[in-house]
Amino acid sequence: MFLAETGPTGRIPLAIRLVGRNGVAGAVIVGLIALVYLVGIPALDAALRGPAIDASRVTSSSGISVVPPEGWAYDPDSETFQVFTQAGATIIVAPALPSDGTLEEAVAPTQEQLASDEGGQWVVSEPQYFTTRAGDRAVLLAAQNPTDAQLLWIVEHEGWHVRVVMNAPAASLETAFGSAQELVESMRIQPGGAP
Amino acid sequence: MIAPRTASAIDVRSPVMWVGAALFLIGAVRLLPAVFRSLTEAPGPGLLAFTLWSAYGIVGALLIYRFEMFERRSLRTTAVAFVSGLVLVPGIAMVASPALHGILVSLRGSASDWDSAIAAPLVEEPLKLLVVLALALIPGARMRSASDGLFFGVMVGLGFQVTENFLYSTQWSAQGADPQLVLQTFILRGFVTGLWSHATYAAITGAAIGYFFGSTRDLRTRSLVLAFALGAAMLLHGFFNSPLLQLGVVPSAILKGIPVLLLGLATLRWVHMRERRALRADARDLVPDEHVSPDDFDGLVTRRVRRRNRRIMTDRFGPTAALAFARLQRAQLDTLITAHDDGVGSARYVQAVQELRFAKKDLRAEVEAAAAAQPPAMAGGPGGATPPDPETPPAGQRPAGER
Repeated sequence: MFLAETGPTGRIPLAIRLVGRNGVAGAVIVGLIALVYLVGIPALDAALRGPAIDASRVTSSSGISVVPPEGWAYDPDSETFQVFTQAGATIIVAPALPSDGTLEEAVAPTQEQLASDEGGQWVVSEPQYFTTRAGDRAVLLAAQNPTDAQLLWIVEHEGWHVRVVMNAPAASLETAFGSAQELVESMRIQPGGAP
Repeated sequence: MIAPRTASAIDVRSPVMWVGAALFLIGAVRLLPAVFRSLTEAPGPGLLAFTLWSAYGIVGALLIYRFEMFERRSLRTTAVAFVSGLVLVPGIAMVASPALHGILVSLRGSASDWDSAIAAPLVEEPLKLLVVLALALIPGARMRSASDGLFFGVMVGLGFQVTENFLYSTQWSAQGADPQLVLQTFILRGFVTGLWSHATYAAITGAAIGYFFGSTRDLRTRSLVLAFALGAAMLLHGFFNSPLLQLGVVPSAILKGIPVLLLGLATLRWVHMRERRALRADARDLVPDEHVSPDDFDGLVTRRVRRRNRRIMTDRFGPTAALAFARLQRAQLDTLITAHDDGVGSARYVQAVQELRFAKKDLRAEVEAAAAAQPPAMAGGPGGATPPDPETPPAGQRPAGER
């Protein structure tokens, strides 16, 4: 039987040679490639990642304490900022600053800046307000472009504002967002001393 | 024996299919909670995004299926490709992508604007390719040419694009966006950047997989083509995600999309030429002329030629005869394709030839009926009422300049 693509070489295409074979080798190849992505890359990430903090709550020298998100690496070098990283996402908890403005006023400049940044291609959401478990009012502003996300939380406590910033690749946002929101909701603020 | 034991990629005796099914389940377990959250946390924007992106995927897939040059591929295999792109690829990418971002940050010590340009192509392109590879390893999928690979690659890429864009729309809609932003994202990611996105990257790599499995060239050449295609798709994807050319949403998308579009079109042209050459050879050497001759194939060679011939039939014998002629064209193509895929004498080929005979008989009857109904003055006029012999193509089948 003539096969149109056999051509002058007389070789039979691989697609035809596979007909009637048991396909075990192909299944092994497909399975191994998938394992690289499902197991190999996450294992390498876990091996390279910095150590996660072994504490139920961490407190900065400026008196802000949070529950560290599970599985995130913690940078213990900074005394004033708390820095957590995972999957390319970074959460930075800044020191508390005195403020006599409202949350609406505090978040507006960042919202305007992101919205006017044409090069960044940010899609900026409306600010969302919520209350932390300690009873403090807080706001979340989220901005995302095709590859990255920037999220800003501001927590208000007795005339003090604490800013939390998360930068994350869009691919990690789905996993990182929940951890960051939990961290912010767990925040306790006692400026100038341990909470 | 070149006829596979099944009519589609669903072959319960193939271990590849079972590995694929297991990977599909893993992908679904990872993906579905995110989809559920997207739909429940902000039901309004979530449902809107779900509806828009579902419609986008279904309409896109149907259009691509409908406008294939020659072959109507198995709907089951097509659905397997599309749904794998919809679930398997994003599900596994949701595991691997964040981890690869983490690796990049660990290696460099901090995140960079380039991380998405490196991580996304390294994860997403090989995973989409993996689905096409799995299909190629199941003989029932009949991945016999670059054209087959391109088609299934497009389906996988389109499925992935739909899920990615749905999640993208709803991730931030759950954080306070309104339906207006869902619509804005739909237009931006569906049309401004969507036309040269995942479906195009996967078309390029899929064509290379099809070539690898369907060509008779030596292993080195086929491997080089595959490596080039995968490398090119990853580079273009990386370029698209890179911080280069940040000129605003639309200008950036268009400028970065141009090389993708050009390579995609070049791949499509290459694939069509190969497919045409193979089917012409089938018409010449494999299928008896009484079924489809090389001259017949000249009248089937592009959609435009086929459409023009149908118009000629409409003008000469009316719309009913043109419909019968369209059926004949489809049957001729199916005869060539089944001979190419499964061999002359295979069950699918015999069925196609039977359909061809019915189509010829119908056409003859329609043409005779139309000729009998025409006034005598017209019968001898230009383009005359002499019915074309369905055994050989009508005059319109070989318009001047097409050969």
